[in-house]
Amino acid sequence: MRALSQRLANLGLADYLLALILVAGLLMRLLAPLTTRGLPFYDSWGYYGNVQTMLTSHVDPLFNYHDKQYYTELPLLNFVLYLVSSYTGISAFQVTKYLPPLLLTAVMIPSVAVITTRVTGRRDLGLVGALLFAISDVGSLRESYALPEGISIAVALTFVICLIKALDRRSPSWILLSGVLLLGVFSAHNLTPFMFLMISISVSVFMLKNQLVKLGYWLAAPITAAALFTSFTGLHHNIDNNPYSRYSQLLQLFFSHEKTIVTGKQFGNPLSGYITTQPLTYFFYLHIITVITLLLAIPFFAANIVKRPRNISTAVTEVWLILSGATFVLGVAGDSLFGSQNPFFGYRTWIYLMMPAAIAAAYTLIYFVNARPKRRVAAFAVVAVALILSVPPTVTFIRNTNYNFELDNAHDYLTSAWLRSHVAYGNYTVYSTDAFYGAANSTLNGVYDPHYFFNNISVIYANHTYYVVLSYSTLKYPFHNTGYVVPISHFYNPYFDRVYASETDWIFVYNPTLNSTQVPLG
Amino acid sequence: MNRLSIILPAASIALGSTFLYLGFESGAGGYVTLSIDGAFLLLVGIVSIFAPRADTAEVDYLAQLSKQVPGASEHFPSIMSGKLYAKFTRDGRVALIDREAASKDLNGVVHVIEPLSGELRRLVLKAQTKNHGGDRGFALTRRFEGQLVDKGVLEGIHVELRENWIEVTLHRPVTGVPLLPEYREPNEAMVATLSSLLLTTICCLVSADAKRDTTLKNISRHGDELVIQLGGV
Repeated sequence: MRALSQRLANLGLADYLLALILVAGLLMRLLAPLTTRGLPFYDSWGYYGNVQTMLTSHVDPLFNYHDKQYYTELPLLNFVLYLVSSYTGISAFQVTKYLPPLLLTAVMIPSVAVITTRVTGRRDLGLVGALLFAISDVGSLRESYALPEGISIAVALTFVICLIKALDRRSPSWILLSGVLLLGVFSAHNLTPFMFLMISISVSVFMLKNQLVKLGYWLAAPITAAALFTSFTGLHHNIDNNPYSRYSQLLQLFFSHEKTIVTGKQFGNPLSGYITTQPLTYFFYLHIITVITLLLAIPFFAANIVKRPRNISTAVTEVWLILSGATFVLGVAGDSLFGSQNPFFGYRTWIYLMMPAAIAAAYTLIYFVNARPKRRVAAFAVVAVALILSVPPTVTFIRNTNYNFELDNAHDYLTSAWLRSHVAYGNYTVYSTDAFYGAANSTLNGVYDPHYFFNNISVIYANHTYYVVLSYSTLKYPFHNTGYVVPISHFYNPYFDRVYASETDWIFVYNPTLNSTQVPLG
Repeated sequence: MNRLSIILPAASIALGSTFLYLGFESGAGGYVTLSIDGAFLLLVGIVSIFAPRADTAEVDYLAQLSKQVPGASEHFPSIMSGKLYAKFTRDGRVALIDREAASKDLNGVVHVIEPLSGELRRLVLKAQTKNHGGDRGFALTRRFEGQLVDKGVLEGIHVELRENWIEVTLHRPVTGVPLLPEYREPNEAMVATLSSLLLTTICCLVSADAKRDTTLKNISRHGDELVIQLGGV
């Protein structure tokens, strides 16, 4: 107790400011969950469903017990949510909704502050880096909802801190700890580990080049452990196929559109997959702080290309920035060239880039710190004004996005209520749209839970009566993937009776009595 | 060349080749991560066998003292026999002092090394003039804070060679005039961390002939003293 009070007494202004930034970042991230009846964004629903299956059936729904592989997603996020829900007794829905923003804010913002402080050598600029990251929206906001990228990047950030400490202190123990964290990154998401594997390898090569041979070997150990861990466990199929096949798909797309790309006809608005009706300038307005952060990161990137990085932290950040920047360029170029066909979704690359970009942007501000007083004041005034101006559009962006989600959610609630009141337990099958296109092995679920129902509507009980549920959520999946789109007209035929319709949801009953050559299901 | 310098590259090449083979053998959609790691291990093994060894110890490339001070290594064998004191001089240099020689000689300065870049040294001297010197340490003005002039926080370093490790004692770390806002007393972790680069570099140079691969082991603080342990990896 005394030690605690002593520690509290020793807190300085910088600590209080960091706490303030944490609160600001947390408010930004809680805005969507607090103002949405359902879960923010689409992805969370899937994880919520998984956790609920884990709680009720005590099986891992993502794990294929026959092949002993994870095919669709990796398990860490589900297990964290499941463990918290089962040990605390808080419902899976509340845990999925609130735990990721709380936990990831608490991990990521201080981590960015720590790394920025090490890179810049100044605590105040460390706080600026944390602030830029905390209130930026495009990348850093979305990652803080239930999304595997989020948890894997949170682990990866602590991995980078360990790596920097290990290199700074030439300490194998920090390298071993970083190795454990690297395994965490590999169990969380399929694309993120690839980037951090490459960061580790680049840093090892960098050590060898500087004749730190033994340390290079130490650093090779966790990379090798992660490679073995991936290859000989259930993670193998997902990690060994996903990132590399996406790169190859992108290359194939590129070469199949070679001529139109060269003539410039292939290029389109990279944002068309996300906001179809708004121009690029409006996007920049909505995301002022992100745009400023990226612009400020450019001098750091250029300076460290031209000259050698002056310390280990800077070198690691530069490697990180280059790799995430290259992925970003690939993602945005892919969105621009191929739109919804791009296998490298752009949103993910924003998430990857925002962290090193915030650190690099804070570093760039050193030049202003050392400028003459008048210029210094002017530069910081510009940054402060930009920060203040960025808050309303960011909030507008979050509110607008979530208004649409909330609208869908409201209709989905009504639909599930209708199903609950009109369809009793018995001999029937309910198909969702994705049951028709590839996801026919949807989870078997006996629980009538409106939350779960939204994005996992393929609830199969028996085989007598077939209900088909179409919902806007599944028809217009956010990152248009043709696999999810089912033309509604498909169901306006004699073999289907429409029994329910709202603005965004439709329920049809398959009528088996007409003849035996009707439209096949599934 | 010791045993490890043969075993490690050999193991790395063997393991790397195996992983690479396994990765390719399984064909498309196979163990891609393993094959990437295999290629990397193979590269590490080959590079570490054929890469030329450093003339001195594993000197941190950032300081590049061996390049900045041509012929500096000639002075080190004599220092290794006894204790070394490093004094940070007012104009931004580090003076390596042999105390035994100092008792006979005038000041015992063995060699002076310059860890600061020319530009930084110019700034230090300029500020020194502006502030009319000062009794303790450098006049660290705000101008330097952004430039990581952590070197100025050292007043005296005591380096002692033990049987299998080197102990570096930093006497009374002075945090500059005025105190840097980041270096909040009594939390000196920042000082120790930032200065470790310099200390490591000095000690690596000092121990160059005695022991290769000297690295920083631990930094601890006892009252006014920071004890920095160095040893093999």
